[in-house]
Amino acid sequence: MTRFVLRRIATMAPILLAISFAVFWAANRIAKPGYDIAINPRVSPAARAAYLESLGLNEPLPLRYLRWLGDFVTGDLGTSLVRNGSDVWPIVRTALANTLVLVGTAVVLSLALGIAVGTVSAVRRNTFADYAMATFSFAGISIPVFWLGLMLQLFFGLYLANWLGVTPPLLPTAGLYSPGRQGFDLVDRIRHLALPTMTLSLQLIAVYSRYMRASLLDVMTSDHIRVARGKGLAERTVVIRHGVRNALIPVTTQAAVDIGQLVGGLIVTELVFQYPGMGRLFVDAMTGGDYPMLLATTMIIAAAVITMNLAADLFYGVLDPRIRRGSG
Amino acid sequence: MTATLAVVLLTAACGSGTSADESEPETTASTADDTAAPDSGDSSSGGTLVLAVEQWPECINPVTSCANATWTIWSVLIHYLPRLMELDQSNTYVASSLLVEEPTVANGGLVAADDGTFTLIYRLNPDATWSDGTPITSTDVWFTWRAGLDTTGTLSTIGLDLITEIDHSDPHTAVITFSEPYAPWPTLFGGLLPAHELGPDTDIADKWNDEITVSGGPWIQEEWNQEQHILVPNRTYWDTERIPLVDRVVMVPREDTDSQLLALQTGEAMAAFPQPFPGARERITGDLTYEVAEGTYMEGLWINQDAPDRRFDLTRNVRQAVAYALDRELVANVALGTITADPPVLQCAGWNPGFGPWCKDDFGRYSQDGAKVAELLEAEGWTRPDPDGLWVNAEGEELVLAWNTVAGNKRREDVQALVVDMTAPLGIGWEIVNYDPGELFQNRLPAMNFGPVALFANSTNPDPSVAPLYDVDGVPTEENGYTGQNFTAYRSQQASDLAFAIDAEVDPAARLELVHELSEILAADVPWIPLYILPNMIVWNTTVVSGPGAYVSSPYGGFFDIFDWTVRSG
Repeated sequence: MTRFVLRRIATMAPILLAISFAVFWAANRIAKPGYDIAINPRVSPAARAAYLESLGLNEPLPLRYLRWLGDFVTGDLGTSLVRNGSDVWPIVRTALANTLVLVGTAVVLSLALGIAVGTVSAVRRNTFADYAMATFSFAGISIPVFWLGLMLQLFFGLYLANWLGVTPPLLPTAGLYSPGRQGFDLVDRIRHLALPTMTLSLQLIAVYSRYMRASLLDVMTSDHIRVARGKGLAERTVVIRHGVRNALIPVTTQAAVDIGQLVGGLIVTELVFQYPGMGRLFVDAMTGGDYPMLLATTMIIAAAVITMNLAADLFYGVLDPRIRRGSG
Repeated sequence: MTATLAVVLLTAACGSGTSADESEPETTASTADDTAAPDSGDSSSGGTLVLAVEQWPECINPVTSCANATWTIWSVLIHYLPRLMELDQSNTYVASSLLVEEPTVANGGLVAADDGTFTLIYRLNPDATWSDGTPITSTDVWFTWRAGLDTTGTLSTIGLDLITEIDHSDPHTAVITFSEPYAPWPTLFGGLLPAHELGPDTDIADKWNDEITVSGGPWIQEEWNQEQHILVPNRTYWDTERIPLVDRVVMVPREDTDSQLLALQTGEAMAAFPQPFPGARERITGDLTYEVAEGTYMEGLWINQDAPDRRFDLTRNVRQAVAYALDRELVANVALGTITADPPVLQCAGWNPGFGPWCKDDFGRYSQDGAKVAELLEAEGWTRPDPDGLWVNAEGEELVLAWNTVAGNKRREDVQALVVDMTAPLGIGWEIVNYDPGELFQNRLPAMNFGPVALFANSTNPDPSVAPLYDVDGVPTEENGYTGQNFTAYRSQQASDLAFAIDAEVDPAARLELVHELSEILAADVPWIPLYILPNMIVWNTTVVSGPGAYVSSPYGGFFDIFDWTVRSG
């Protein structure tokens, strides 16, 4: 197992290094750091030169890359070009935390509901309930996130609130907190998390339920289930203790992979709900030409994807010894 | 271009000014429902005002590129930084309450010396103080000057670099000496900085990036971050007319029009200052109302006489012929008709009518006239072999103009479609080649690799400066590293000389004459064709807030006068 883990970690390093160079090159092409000030005729040449020099932008790209890489691996993510001199890391940390809260909430909720729906679907295979849940799942997979988000905003924020005569709505349509709220407020935070979580969860529930259904149906035909039944165990016990438990493996590993991908993949959801997470930060950095921020967000997103893929592999290995043995 | 336009707004926002003409400029204010106008009688002071803000600043330092974003000024700086001169509701510079009087030649405030230097004397209101009680003095004027020059990454040094000295020995008198006459002096010092708070180091790049700790305006900043901005009244503000009526203002980011409208409809926000959007007249209903007025940006056809893809010379006759081929009234209606009824055609030759007294009806002479088109083109040897076809020159080139704008901008693409149909019967064709904003404004425009015709917004105005726009030596070229702002490659020595004279003329009346003289030349030469002014729009919920609308066309933004707004209690 140790060799397996070390080998997987060893493969991560060159991948991240290659990504870092590609990202650095692309960020410099896209963001054109210092471009605004370089073309601003209202700034004197001396002030312009001093500014570009202060940012190290007068050096060749490879040299800048090496300098950036050295800083990055030692934890110095640089300073934002747009947020004038502010350190990148605290900004990224806040956005990352917000995204992880949203992703974590959505994935946990989706796992719980997806497993339940998938289990019921599998147990009641080819019944009305199964068909209904399949329909729900396919709808959930098919509905575009931006459309669902807008519909939820309209329904909960406008129509339901109007019907109930509640202003502002019980489930706010945007932001982290109610305007003017200062300090942490758990209830307010949960209320603001509700609609983006619903938006994100619908698709995840749909996916997990299909995984779960297929996995459970597969598991229920395996030898150990026949043995369990042969022992005279109640069907409920067979399904839950011996079926669901084994069927969870692909679902939970998929969830781990999803967490990695969602760290940087919530751009639409975060934009629709004005949610200050990694997706929005990435878009802002790209459109604002803030290349240190763009580099940091992209690298963290890439690292999250690779790390969670590794975690999924390890998790799979822990749950299924055949994987460890096969790869060791 | 974006940066340049933002600087124009910044300098306007940071300015002061004087005008010989106190008349109100034409505006096109209209409301969706006049009967729904706010009734201040139902309102009371106090309460919290919640505003949806379209663009959230990344940082709020008033000197660096943070201030390049218009919304940094509109949502933050304008509420805290005192101005020496400021724009009134007609966008004319007047003395702010920070001054005892407006500097004029008559009162000795403006002195052009024989040695070519220019002296500007500001007499400060002795009652003016920062929110911490420290008096606002001439040292703050000096500090603002130095911070503008010395700060790393400063946004603009224009004008400030002509100042040779600021005598601040008398705390209530700032004596500013320029190396040469500087006509747009009112645009300087539009956001005074507190020397006692930010000094003594005059490089303030690492200060006030996420908080304004001392205010010289009607508000004090309680909190600013990426989620919200909270302002509370500055109860010690010396300008008692502008002490806010509400207890608190909360601004929250809602970064697209739909989000802003939704926030207003759900009651999560009370007012917004969105980009005008198609269909506004139908979409803003119920408790919401809106007002539109001429904004700070105008759109037109900018003709690049150096366009690499031009198939023939863009002579004056050709440019005039294009102007005569357009029904600009119809163009304005197609562009803005779903936002405001009867959008006006922009007739001003070089400037936005919303700023000062500069505009006349210069382009009024150009209305669609097929006979004029034919006359102008035939005079240069163009023929029309097929009466239903395109004009052809002696070299056999058809009169087809490549035309760029921002891809996906529906308003502009609608205009393109209309103009293509409109000019075809008159023998003028177009080749539409649109680009994404980055490609057009960051790559092609600065390199003069566009057009020869491009449709985009601009915000030009004699303040702070005219010369760069019409400087014959200011055409961006490869040789000069594409510096310069004469991006129509308009080479008129007469216009260029006039433009420089305008910049150096400090007497407002004489300057106005020069501007009108230049406008006449521009209208005759047609380096660009004005189409319409983009309106500004403010939307609010009439059941909860009263007061919006007075500054809808102001460069200071529609939220400038929130000190006068009220919310309904309870």
